[in-house]
Amino acid sequence: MSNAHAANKSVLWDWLTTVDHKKIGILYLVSGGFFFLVGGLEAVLIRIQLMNPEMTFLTGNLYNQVLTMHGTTMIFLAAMPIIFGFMNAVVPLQIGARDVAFPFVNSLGFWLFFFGGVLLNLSWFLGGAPDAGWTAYAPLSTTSTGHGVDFYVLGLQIAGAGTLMGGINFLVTIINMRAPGMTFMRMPLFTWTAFVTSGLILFAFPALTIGFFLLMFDRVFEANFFDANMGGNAIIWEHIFWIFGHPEVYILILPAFGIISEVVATFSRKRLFGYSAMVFATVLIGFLGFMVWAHHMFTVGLGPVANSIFAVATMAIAIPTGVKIFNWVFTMWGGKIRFTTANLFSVGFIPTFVMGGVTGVMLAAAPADYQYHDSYFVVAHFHYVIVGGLILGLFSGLYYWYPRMFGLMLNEALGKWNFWTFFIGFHLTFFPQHFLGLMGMPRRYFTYPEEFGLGSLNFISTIGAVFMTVGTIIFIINVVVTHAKGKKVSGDPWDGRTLEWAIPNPTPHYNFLQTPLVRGLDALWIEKMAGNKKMTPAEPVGDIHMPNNSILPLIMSLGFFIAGFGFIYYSSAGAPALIAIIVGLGIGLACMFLRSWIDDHGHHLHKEDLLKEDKGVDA
Amino acid sequence: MASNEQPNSVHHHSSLQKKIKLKQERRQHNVSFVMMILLTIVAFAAIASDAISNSVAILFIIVLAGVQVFFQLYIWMHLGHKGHEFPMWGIASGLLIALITVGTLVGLIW
Ligand code: HEM
Ligand SMILES: [Cu+2]
Repeated sequence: MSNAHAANKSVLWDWLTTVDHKKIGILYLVSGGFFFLVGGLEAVLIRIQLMNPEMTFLTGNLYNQVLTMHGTTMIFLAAMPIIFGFMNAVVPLQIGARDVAFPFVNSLGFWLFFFGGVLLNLSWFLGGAPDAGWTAYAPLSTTSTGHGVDFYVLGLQIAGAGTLMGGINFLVTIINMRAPGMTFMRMPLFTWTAFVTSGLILFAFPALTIGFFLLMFDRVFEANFFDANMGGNAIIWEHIFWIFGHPEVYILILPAFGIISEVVATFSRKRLFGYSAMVFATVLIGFLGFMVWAHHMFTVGLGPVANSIFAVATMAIAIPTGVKIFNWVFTMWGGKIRFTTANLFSVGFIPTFVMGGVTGVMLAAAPADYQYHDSYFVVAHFHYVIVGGLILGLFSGLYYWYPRMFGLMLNEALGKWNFWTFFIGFHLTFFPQHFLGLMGMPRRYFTYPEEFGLGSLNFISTIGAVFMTVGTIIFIINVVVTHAKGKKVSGDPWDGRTLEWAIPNPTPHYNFLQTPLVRGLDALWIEKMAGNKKMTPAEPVGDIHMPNNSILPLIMSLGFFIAGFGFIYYSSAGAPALIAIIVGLGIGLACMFLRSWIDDHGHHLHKEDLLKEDKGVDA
Repeated sequence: MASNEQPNSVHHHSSLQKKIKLKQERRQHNVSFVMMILLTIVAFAAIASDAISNSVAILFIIVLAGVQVFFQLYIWMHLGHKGHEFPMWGIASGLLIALITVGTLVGLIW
């Protein structure tokens, strides 16, 4: 870093105050990765308990806590942040921007997520974690004793606020900060999916926010929104949760679709087949995603008309999804395919996700769902789409963009071990669960009797979990090995097609010395085909305006974290909790005031310094 | 959010044009400011007075609220200006999704 004043301060301070999208991306990735390991550990504990009939390793309420925290952690604290990590690391580069639209808000979004996640997990040490499932259905959640569910509500409320900010930030970034020539229909597909996902976040998360407020009022302030005895209605919680929840599953999967589209095209050395159909399918999936939530509630008793409508709407989503599958296959068709680790994960994704989609359509048949519902069949379905879909996609993205993010190439030999152990382990774990479900094993029970004959399939499933654990450990070893003695690579190690590969390695602080001129889809590839070594610049070299770092986002989030504690203990601790609420919210408001009051115009990097620095890096 | 401006954005405006525009805008702002306060008073009066039945009053203030939203978005947030097509699209699609969702939800629960 050439920045003279940045070098004076400590590295730690730099990371705590950074507003650089590349660093925030790494922060998201590392903390999301940490929570992924925590959630994975919880999963292994669950699988050990279910390995044999009538085990007593992890039972009763503790099992419920581990189960709840596994799901909640994986969705909100692992999957979402890692997606945001990629969006931060990649989207500004893909559209030729120097940062996101609101760098300060970006940092705030990260710290809110981080403190929300910490708050939720502190419940383990403070009297017990939430135990009402990641869906927190009332009245189970409203009557759950202790403070576990309070931690769930407040922790996720804070983390969710961060997610909402992130979503808005990326919408504005993609709309406003594209380089000259980067029209919407020239945007790489990952950017498109990031855009649609951000839109879904904007429309879906407010429903969850409201739901959490109602749940919080029921639990903390003795309101009765979900209490039937007092004129409330517990079903409303289910509706609100799934009005958020189904769009949420598309928030998760769309960026994975984007990653697969980039990786498959790059490693087939072909333009993505049916680009505009892919864009249209992405938007359509996003839209339809809002119209199907009640398919999670077929057995609630909505009646045959409502069930039929939601069943048909749900099945309709399979059509744009199928379009995507065919387009990936056609992209590979006749391509010069290289089976790098990144591409292995992508190619493994395609059939795996198809299987998850097929069970999805099976579940969408309302009368049949009366059999499948709340059985291990549903568990198998959503793990096929989330682990076999999203997580394989995320691994693919990691291997693909690691050189961009860290300037180093992950070891390919270890990568292949990583893929095969994880991939085989995944199918071994979850394929048998379809049959366990059909044989009648209910979801969320901590054991099953010997006579039911569920033992052997459960045993196989646990062995599969061991394989996945090995795969994850190999990945961690790979990261350590890579950073210990990995080779520096050029800025374009894969012979890439999109703008993020037009940048030297390591990525300069300001991304692009000159904003590039985009002349079509796969902007870099077009220049390569035209025989150009570099992107054509859209501007002369000049001073670059960059935002200043700030510690306020961290302190503001800390304030809400303290207030969160106050709300959690308000119903049992009284006055001290009230003090925590006032102090915490006070800190938050004070930070907002400071942010508005202090004029911060950022700083300029000067042309002369930039030119000097540019000579130093490889081209 | 001064520091968050897009780098390199340049505004070309002759200062005279700018002045005239600003003056117009200030007038609009003043008018809408007074109107909004008046509307709020009227809404309050409609509820406070016993002359109007509750159900009529509720309908009435919902209409007033709609007018307020219009003022807020168009006068204060410049939704009508050039370059605001995206916020328009955003609001329209948000409204569409919210309407369908809430409509269906109400239908399902009642
Ligand atoms: C073709 C597309 C899909 C269809 C037709 C579909 C259909 C369904 C249906 C009907 C259910 C409810 C089953 C029940 O509870 O009885 C369900 C559950 C679920 N699906 Fe999907 N799905 C699809 C894709 C996805 C994707 C892409 C994801 C996530 C990335 C996903 C994640 C989930 C989750 C997490 C649940 C379980 C929620 C819970 O009860 O905890 N699904 N799906
Ligand atoms: Cu769903």
